[in-house]
This record gives sequence, structure tokens and C-alpha cells, in this order.
Amino acid sequence: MRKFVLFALMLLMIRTTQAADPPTSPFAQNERVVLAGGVFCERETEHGSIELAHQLAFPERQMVFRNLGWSGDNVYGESRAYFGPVEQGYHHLLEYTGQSKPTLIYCCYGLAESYAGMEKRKAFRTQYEKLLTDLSKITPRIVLVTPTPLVPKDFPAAGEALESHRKVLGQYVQTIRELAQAHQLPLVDLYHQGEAPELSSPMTIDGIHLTAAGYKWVAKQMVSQLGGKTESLQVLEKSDRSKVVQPLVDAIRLKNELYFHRFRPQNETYLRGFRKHEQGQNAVEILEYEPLLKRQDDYLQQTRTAVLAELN
Amino acid sequence: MLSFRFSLLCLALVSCSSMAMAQRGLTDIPDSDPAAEQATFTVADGFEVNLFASDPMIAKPIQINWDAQGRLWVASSHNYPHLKPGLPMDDQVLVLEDKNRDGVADQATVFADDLLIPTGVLPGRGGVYVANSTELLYLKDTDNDLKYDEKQIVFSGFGTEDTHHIIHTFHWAPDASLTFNQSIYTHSHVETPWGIRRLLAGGIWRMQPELRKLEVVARGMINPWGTKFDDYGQIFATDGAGSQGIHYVIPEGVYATAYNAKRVLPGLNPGQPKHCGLEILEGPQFEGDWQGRYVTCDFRGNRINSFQLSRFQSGYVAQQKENLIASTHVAFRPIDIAVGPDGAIYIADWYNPIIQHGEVDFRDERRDHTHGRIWRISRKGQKAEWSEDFTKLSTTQLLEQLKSDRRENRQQSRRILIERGNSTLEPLTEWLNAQKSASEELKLQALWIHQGLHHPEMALLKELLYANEARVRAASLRVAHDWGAENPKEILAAIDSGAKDPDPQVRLEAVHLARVTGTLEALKVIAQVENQSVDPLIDFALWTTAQQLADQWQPAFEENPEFLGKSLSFTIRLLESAPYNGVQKTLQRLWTLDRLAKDQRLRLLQLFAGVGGTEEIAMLFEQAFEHPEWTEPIFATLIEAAQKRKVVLTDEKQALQELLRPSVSPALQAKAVELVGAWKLKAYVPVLIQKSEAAELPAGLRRAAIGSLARLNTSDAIEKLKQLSGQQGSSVQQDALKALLSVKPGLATQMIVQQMANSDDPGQMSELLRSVLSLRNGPPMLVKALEGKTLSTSMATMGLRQASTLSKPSPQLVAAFRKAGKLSAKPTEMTAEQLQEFLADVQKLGNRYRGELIYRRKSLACQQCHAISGAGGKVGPDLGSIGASAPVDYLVDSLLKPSVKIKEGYHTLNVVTIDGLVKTGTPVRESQEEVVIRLANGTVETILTEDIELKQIAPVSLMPADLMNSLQRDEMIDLVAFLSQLGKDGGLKSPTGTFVRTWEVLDVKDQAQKLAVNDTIRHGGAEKAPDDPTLPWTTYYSYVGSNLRLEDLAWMGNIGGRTLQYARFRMNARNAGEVTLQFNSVDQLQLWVDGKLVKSISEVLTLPLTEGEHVLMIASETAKRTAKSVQIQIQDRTDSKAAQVELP
Repeated sequence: MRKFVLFALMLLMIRTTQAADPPTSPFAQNERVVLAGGVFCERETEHGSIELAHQLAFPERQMVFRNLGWSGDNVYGESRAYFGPVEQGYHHLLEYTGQSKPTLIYCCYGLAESYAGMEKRKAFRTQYEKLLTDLSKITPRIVLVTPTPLVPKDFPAAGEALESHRKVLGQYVQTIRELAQAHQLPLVDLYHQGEAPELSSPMTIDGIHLTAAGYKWVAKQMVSQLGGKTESLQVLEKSDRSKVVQPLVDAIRLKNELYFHRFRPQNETYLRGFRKHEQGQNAVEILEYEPLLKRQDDYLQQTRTAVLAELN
Repeated sequence: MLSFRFSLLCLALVSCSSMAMAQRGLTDIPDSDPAAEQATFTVADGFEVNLFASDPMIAKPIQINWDAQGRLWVASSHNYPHLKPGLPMDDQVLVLEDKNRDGVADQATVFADDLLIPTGVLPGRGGVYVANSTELLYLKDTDNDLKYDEKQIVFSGFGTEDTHHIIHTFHWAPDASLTFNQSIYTHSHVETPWGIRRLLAGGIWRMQPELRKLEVVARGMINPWGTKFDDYGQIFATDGAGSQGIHYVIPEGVYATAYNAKRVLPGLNPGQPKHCGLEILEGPQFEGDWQGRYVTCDFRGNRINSFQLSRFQSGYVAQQKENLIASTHVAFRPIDIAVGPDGAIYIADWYNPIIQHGEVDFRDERRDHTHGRIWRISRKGQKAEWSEDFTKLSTTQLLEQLKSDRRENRQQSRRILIERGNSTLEPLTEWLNAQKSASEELKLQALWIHQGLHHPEMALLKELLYANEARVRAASLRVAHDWGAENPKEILAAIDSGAKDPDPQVRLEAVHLARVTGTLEALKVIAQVENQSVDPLIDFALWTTAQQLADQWQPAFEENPEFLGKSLSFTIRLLESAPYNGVQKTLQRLWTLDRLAKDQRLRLLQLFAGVGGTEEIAMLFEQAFEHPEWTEPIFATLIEAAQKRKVVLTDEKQALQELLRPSVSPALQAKAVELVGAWKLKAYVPVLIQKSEAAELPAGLRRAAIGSLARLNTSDAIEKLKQLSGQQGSSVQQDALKALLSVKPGLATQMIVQQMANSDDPGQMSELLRSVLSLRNGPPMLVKALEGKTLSTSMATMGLRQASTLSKPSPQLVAAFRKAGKLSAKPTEMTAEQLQEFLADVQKLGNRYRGELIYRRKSLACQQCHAISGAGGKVGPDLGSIGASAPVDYLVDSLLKPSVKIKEGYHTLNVVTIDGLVKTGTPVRESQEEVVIRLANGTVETILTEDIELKQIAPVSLMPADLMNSLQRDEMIDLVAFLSQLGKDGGLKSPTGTFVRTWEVLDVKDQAQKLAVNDTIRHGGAEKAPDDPTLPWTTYYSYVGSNLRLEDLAWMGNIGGRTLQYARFRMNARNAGEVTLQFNSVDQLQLWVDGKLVKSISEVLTLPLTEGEHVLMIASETAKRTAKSVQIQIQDRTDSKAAQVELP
């Protein structure tokens, strides 16, 4: 736990000093980053923006990302439970986080939970604390990420439902902020006072799911709030130079795809579930993604070096 | 002859992978030439078939759907069942076009080729919706090259635990919302703008595309790959892994294997093969009674079945009609069916000799990844009439299409009108007003357009709520689900009129609407449905409603038990549906009401049994003595409360004494005795001892006394149980042993084993042995007790069977039984070469008719667990079409090693209760409150979750592993030959239609019993005492051909000078009416209905039946009869006089 607090303090110092001095990167030389959360993380696998921003903004660091996003997931691990009770999902979350050997974890929870209503806020906080305690056994370096705001104007068809839920979500975000403070954890606040940022195109598709523009905004926020070089992210906008980074985006997306098959393989029932006596022999195929991933990780780093060289 | 056993013995050591290798070595791959496949087709009279598209143009079609321009969209996956690591996700959506309109596709365009096992495709809303594993995609072509260039993930988080269960079966609902299904192994967690939606296991989703609103329409079904809406918006579905044919799907209906289901609704055709896809044939191109047929693919049996549906009560009945097409080609796998823009029927033929998903290795080389066909079935000699390109029609032209007599035209135009948005509204209203005599059905379509545009058109709704056609009224109530929020008053009025409607389907819809509305007012209004008959569907809907609206009515009931005024019955219904903690006091108040009818009081007692505390129990105990007519039912309640929930009265002094006097009826005495045991009243031990040993008392009373002695568990009681357990030949010895087992398990086990050693009647001992094995330490106790004992071969075999199907294997016990019975251990595996040789011999030497006789052998007990087309046990899968679906090597494998492949839905659940009992069976349903399993002996047992210490899926099949050991090689060859022909076209198929397949016959063990039974019948008549326990009526299943063979039945001599054979069957009439039986022959046959002789019978015989269960008995003087079997078909009747009957 001591390391945990020290890291937190360090990050906090960086944030508070950010305005005055050019921030130094809070990231270690070799970083393995896990993204844990619901659909917010899951769809990042298709965009790759968050990872791309990190890879560009912290050029001196080596970073490997593993995305454990799972639609509908919450701090109970509910979406990962398969046939079992919810606790089984929680174990799955811890197991795959551990297996990824992270040195840093982004915890992106709060939206799915908020639909349980105001009265469940306390239960959410208690469970989030349990999760943080359990995750800190894997690595003490945890960053809390708040949900993004709901955007009724992007999707008037569900405008009323979105509007009425904003208040509840705001309270959950507040709980996350309190949690970060109480545990001295760094926080990436994406809630933006509950209002959508002014972007050139809508932030969401349907009020909750982010567009490509939404993910770019999020990526910039994360990097800047954690002291990264935001000027290096200019290329995220449409420009001639954005073509330069395309190979890196492709490499990230392919890596995410390979990891998705490793982490959420189809036919779980037969490969490792209760019918494994029938197809368990094919479960070895899941592990065949490991060398593929390794190769793609290496390729990603080479591509990144080449892209960074070209950008400079 | 070298026996099978011997040859197996020679090959004791076989590697685990030998079976997989053997499968790969097989070469029974059919000819993949489409012409060869087409040559095997038998098409229904008046139809013809042609090849529309084939490989290499397409491969592995999964779903087909037509767009508004007359193009066929195909979801196709060569990666199924599982993507190989390192390979790209490159499955496709294809578009097929028949530009020259000759009935053959002339162009295929790849619209998307970066998909992962797409299982659904549906064009609409300017693009196409695609099921892409965990995602629901919307793909759009923006530059008109028929290739997508815009992709949106609409929703994600759909479960992928089984790639033939991932979301599928995409269809447009009447209001152009998107419906799709998921199946049993998937668990979906979806984030939407309206909140999180989760669906565990199977179910049907509805998504309103414009709102991105996702909801669960119904839950359950094992693998529902067919969905269709009829012209009144009612939903029908088929199940690709269930066996109940077409399902009528009601809102929030719960069907087989739904997650956390307390109750499930049945399909319309129990005993049917598994079905995939569903289409309704309707339009001028269909002649005669093909009009309105429901067609669905029996992909295992390589054929397409058809059904005629008719309304019954608030739901439907379905009668099977002739097949649309059938084939003997094992790779013909029709899996989707859709009527096309030219009026022909198009069939997606997935083309694969292997369909097993889990059971056959994902990488089995016989899995086909490259072929696939679309077949086109049209009326012979009929010119194709192509529909318009709906996208090019003006709004008015589209509106005119709503009057089309072609179903597909109405659907496409309605959808396009909705997609054109609010600009449709004004012309729609004007056009409808201008119609001189718009039918109610036409107005209903207009209503759906308003619904699709989220535009509550209350005037039209109100008009249609009072339509003449009941189905239109029902459909309007369904539309009102979406419009309730803004119009509470109108909706309440609609529920009110619906609840009073003379048509039960309208009343059913009123209940749904009340539930969706969710107010106490709506619930009060719905109480009126009890004024008319409440059929099973309405009962289910009321039950669901009572649970969902518990927050509304429970406080109201607490405040005033008569909150519903006169409707005490409805109040009790609510309480039965959703009993709650804290209800007890108010229940007592209810009990004191004088106006409670007798049946209402009985229902209240059931409630007390479930929730009553000591105060209520004391009150009832007092009442039992004050009102002698209530003593027995009240005692039953008290016993249940004590046994299930341990609510007892400990201060009972001697009140029960007076009920134990000899002058009291034995039945009441038995209840009092049971209560003594349940309440553990030790003072009564001497009386119980006296009752237990009195040989002159009825066995039931003695049994009750013995049971209670065990519960009381005093030293005197145990001494008595020991003594009774040792009394050879006593009628209560078995009961005593069972009772002793619960208090002195070690001793009782020894006595039971001794008994097994002394006896040669395994049937008599098997229940006792099962009781021992249901104890957690039963197996080791048995091992100990078996030491040094010798058992007869049949006794040891029975023991071995039970030992080998334990969910937690005990090799020691298996060895102990083998040793005691001197049975040799035999390996049950074959090498690849042996298997090849064996399979060749099945082809060459196997005799399916001899095989059927082997299958029917009592010693193999196949029928005890398996049914063929519904006739037989329900523990294991129905084998009616196993030959058509399973490769022969798979059958052999399953016979030799049952645990290696376990069919979905038939895994073994192992439940350990807090009392240390082990219960093992296949799951019937599970909810948070209880687990219901079917034990190996076929009985269904409910275990409360709170009593469960451990529940797990056992890796062991309930099918004994060494069943085949008793067969010689040639017998096994015949058995496999039989199984491999089941359900195959040209093989052994149960005939289409409803036949009596489950009978009861007199099963006499020996000559002495035969004489005794004969005597009873000669003096009493078999018909007079249907429940006479001395007549050994035993279940008998018809042969595959649905006939009962008279040679199998016992002969009863000298019955009025004749020698007769008897058989009987039961049927349940769901309503009073006529049933028409068709006999193969009534020569020398007599028939009794409920004990009354039918004076004159004919081959086609119409009988009037009252509602409820009936017993029909036949007697045959077979010596004089020409036909040597009896076959009875129940004719399909849907006329108003007909009774709808169910056979067991």
C-alpha cells in the first residue's frame, strides 16, 4: 500500500504543478497498462485513440496496452460472469488483470453502476474500494477515470431518458472523485461538469457511446491531465500528417483484436466452460494468441518508432 | 463367434485421441454436386424446386432476408464454428440478384468481408443490420457500389459463449422495430441510452432503431432460430434445440431453459424435432390449404415441415401437415426460409454433413466450410409475379401496397413508409380517410405505421380497440404498450374493455397491457378477467403481472385485505403469485372472512404452508379441531410447514391423542401420525410403535408411523425400526429400511446389502440402493458393506449401473459391485481400425428392425430415459431424429462413452442439500428460489435454493457407461443400425400426425402373478377399477411406426369365454368437445372410455369428451383379429365442436 500512496502523491504533484512547469511524464520507463471498464473501454479497441495518444505523447516511454473492456461491466465484474454467479465475473476481472502483468491500471467504472439509482451509490463506493484494494495487490499504480458526460443533444430520440439520468450520473462521478481523494489516487476527470465539450463534430453517437471525435477528446484529456505533451496530439485531427500515424493506429487495432480473442474467445462454453470435456482439446488455440500478440507488440513498437521519427 | 466383449478386451489400452482420429478417418462424405443433392429431393405435390444459387457463388448461408429492391441478403461464415488463431475475421455478407428474373441468381456482390461469424442480416433503414458475434452492426453503402463504407456498432456486449447461440434471426416487427434472438449459452450485457440491458440465456430482443431502445420481449427457448409475426402482430418462434415445435410467444413469456425461470410455457407441438427458421405462406400463389401454412426447417431430418395453426383459447394449436420438401442427402441442411419477391419460397441450405456444434471436434475435417445453396421452391407451372422496387414507389403507391394480397409486399411497403419518417403521417391519414371501406386489418397496418413513427394516434387506436375482429382488438392493445405513458386515462379504459372482452386473446393482451402500465388501478381493472375462464396463458400472464406489480398491491393489501372488493379469488391469486414476508397477519384476517369459498380456503392453506409462522400454525391447529371437515387439509398444511420450513408447535400436549384412536379413519390417523413426526412429539413414541407393528392396520398408516419413528429418533423408536427392518417378507420391511437409513445409515446399509445378497429381484432393491447412494457418504458405506458379500449377476449389474452414473465417480464402489457379482471389467473403446470395421458391419449386416427390439429391451432401459418422437422417458434427449443428425461414429461413441458428449440441456446437475443428500439429474428449470431436476428414474424433484449446500454441473452423463457390456457385437451392430436410421428420410420415422404412443399395459412377472391378475379381471373387469393397485399397469411405448404390437401383451383367459389382451392410454381434453380417433383396424377390438364400454366402434370414431383427463382402454381378441398391432391416430380437428387433446 505504501508504494500505492507514493505513486499517487507523485501524480498529484505533477497535476498541481502542471500549469507552471512543463510536466514530466508520470509513466515509468517500461509500462504495461490495463484499461478496465465497460463499453467505454471496449469500443476504444476499435478506435485505438487512447493508446495512440499515449504512444505519441510519451515518446521516451515503452508502453504495452491491454484492453479489458466489456460492455455493461461494473465494479462487480458482472459482465464477465459467464454462467457463474457475479463473483465469478469479479474473479475473471482480477485474473485477466493479473495475467496482463500491468504496472498501471486505468479503472473506468461508474456509468453502468449509476443505472442502479442514487440509493445504490454507497454500495458502489464500497465495492469500488474492494476492487481497488484487490487490484492494488497486482499493482498499486491505479488511475481512476470518470465516465464521460451524457449528451442528450446528440440524440434527441432518447433525450428525456438521457437528461433525467444526468443528475444520477453526476452523483456517481462525485463519488469517484471522493474515492480518488480519500485514497490519494490520481483521477482523470472526463465528466466536464456534465456538459459535452465543444467539438467540431458530435461527441457521442447516441448520447452515451463516443464517436471517433469523442475518443480523441478523451485521449487528449487523459494525456494532458497526466502531464503528457498535448502538442504531439495535433496529428489526431484531420491533417496531412494524420496519415503518418495511420500505420500505428492499424497496429494498435490489430493488437487489440488479437488480445480480444485471447481474452474473450468465442465458444467459451466448450473450450473452458462446463462442456470442455467436448472441445477442451481446442482450448490450446486460445494460447496460440500469445506468440501472435508478442509479435504484434513488437511490430507496434517498431511502427511507433518509425512514426515518431517521421513526425519529428 | 468371437464376442464383441472379447475383441474389446484385446485392446485394453487405447489412447484418448483414438476416437477423434477415427472420426477424421471416416469417408462417408456425400456427393457435393448440387445435381446429386437435388436428385434426392421429394417436393410436396404441386411444387417444384430449382437451384437459385450455389457454391462457389455463395458458401455457408446462415440467414437470408430480402430487401425492398428484390435482392437477397445472405449472412455467410466459413469460419464457423471457431476462428483459427492468426486468421483474419473475413466472413461475409453477400447480396444475390436475379436480374433477368429467371429464378436463378446471376450476380453475387460481397457487401462486407470483415466479419466474425455473422449470424443475422437484415436490410433496412438505408443500410443493413448485421449480427457480428458480440456486436450488432449497422453497415451502410454510401456510394452505391453495394459494398459498405460506413460502419456503426449499434450495440455490443452480446454473449459469445457458443457461436451457434450468438445473436441471430433478425426480422422486422410490424412497426419496423428490429427483433432478434439469442440462445441458451449466451449472456448479454448491453449499454444503451436508456440504461443497461442484460439477458442471460435464451430470449427474444426488440430494438426500436430510431430510439435505440432495447428490450427483452420474451425469455427462454434453447436455440430459437425462427421468428415470424403473423398479420395481427402475434409472434411465433421455433427452437433449433428444443422439441416443442412452433411456440406462440407472448410478451414477457418464459419458455424452456430460460434463466431463473419459475414457470415456463410450452410450445405448440411437444415431441417435434428441432426446427430452424420459420415462414408463413400467404398470398395468391399458394393454393388450397397451403394458404396460411407455417413452414419450418427440420435441419436434422433434412426436410421442411409444415403446420396449420388455429386459434385455441387465448393461444393457438398447431397441426402438422405434409412436408414441403424432404431429402435423403445427409448434407442438405435447410436452416432458413423466406418467401421472395417473386412469390417463390427460398431456402438457405447450409450444406454440411456435420451439424453437431459441441459434440464433434471444431477441427473435424468433415466439417464443410466451402459449400452452400439457396433452393427455390415454386408452384409448378406458375409464372413468377415480381413485386415492385419499393424504394422507387411514391408514398401513395406504397400506401396502396398495404392492400396487396401478398404478405411480403405489405411488410416491405409498411417498413419503407415508416423509414420515410414523419412525412408519411399526413398522406397516411388522408389516404386512410379516403378509403371507402377500409378493412380493420388495413387500419391496423396504419396503426403500426403510427407506432413505428412513435406517433400515438389515439383516435385510430380507440377505434380499433372496438374492432369486430378480436385479433385486431388484441393487436391494438399490444400497440398501446408504447403509448401508455402519455395517455394514462385512455389506456386504463382500454385495459378495462379488454379485460371484459368475450375473446380470450383480447383478455390476455389486456393483462399484458396492465402489466406494462404498472399501476394499481390497472391491476384492479384486470381483476375482471376472472369473471370469465382463465386459461393457462392468461393464468401465466396474471402470475407475471402480480409479481411485477408487487410493489403496488402488497401495501394496498396490507392496509385492507378486501382492497379488491369482491374479488377475493383475485386477491388470493396475487398472494399465490407473489407471497411475501410480513403477509402472515393479513392472511389470518383473510382466513376469518366468512365469505371465503371452500376452494379459496384450500388455496389459503397452501399459502399458510408456504409462509405461516408459529402464530398462524397455532391458529390453524385450533381450527382443525373446531372444524372437523378441515382437519385433514389443515394437517397437510402443518406437516408441509414443518418439513419444508421447520415451523413447529412444540407445546402441543395431548390433543392429537384423540385422533389416534382406532375409531378414527386410517387416513386421518396417518395424517396425525405424520404431524407427530414432523413436530417431533416424543411422548407419542409408544403409540407410534404400536401402529407400526400392527399387521392388521393398512400399510399406509404403518408406513406413516415408521416414517415418524425415524423423525423422532429415540432409542425405542430406533430399536423398533431395526426390528421391522429385519422382518423378512413383511409388507413394511422396505419402509423400515428406508427409515432406518435416515437415522442409522451404516447399520441400514449393511442390512440393505444383506437383503440384496439374499434376493434376486433387483427391481425391488433398486430404490433402496438409490436411497443409500443419495447419502453423501453412501458410496464408502456401501463399499464396506459389500466386503465379502456375494450378489447375483443381475443384482450386481443393477448396483453397477447406479454406481457408474454417480456424479462423483467412485471407482471403489464400481469395483466392489464387480467383485460381489464376479463381473469382469471390460474396456469400452475401439481403435480407429476397429471402429471402421464396426461401421462397415453396421452398413453391411445391421438390421434396424432387430435393433429396435434390442432398443426396447428392459434390461438396457433405453426407453426409461429416452423418447422417440415424444414416446419414452424425458431424462435424456429425444432420439426421434438422431439418425438424421448424428454421424454413425458419434452414435457409437455416445453408446460406449456417454460422458464424452453430452447434449446441450442434458448435462447432469449435482445438488448436495444441507441435509447431506446428493441429488443428481438433468435440469428441468432453475430459478433463484429453486432448482428442478429430473432424476435418472424419471421423477421430477424440486429443491429449494436455501436447502442447497452445493450445486455443480457433473462431468458425468446420467447414462450408465457400461450399458453396452451386456450386448454381443452383432446386437450392438443392430442397435446402431436402428439408431442411425431414426428420423432419416427413407429410414425409420414416426409418421406425421398425432398418434397414441404412450400406453399402459399389464406387466406380469411370472405365471403366479398372471393367474392372480387374470382372476381379478375375470371377476372385476379391467375397466371397472382403473386404479386397482393389484393390476400391474405399466408404461409401454409404441414402436417407431407408432403401433402397439399385440404380441408384447399378456393374455388374459376366459373373460366371458374369450382370451383377451388389454392396453389403455390417457388423454387430456383441454376443453369439452369431440375427439375423432382413427384405428388401423377395429376388428375384434373393444373400447372403454372412463370405464364405460363404447357400444359400437368403427375405424373412424368420434367421441364426446368432457374437459379433463380420460382413460381409454382397449381389449383385443387377437387370435381372431387379422391385424397384429393397434395404431390409433387422433385426427386433427379445429372446428368449433372439437376438443383439443393432449397425450402424455
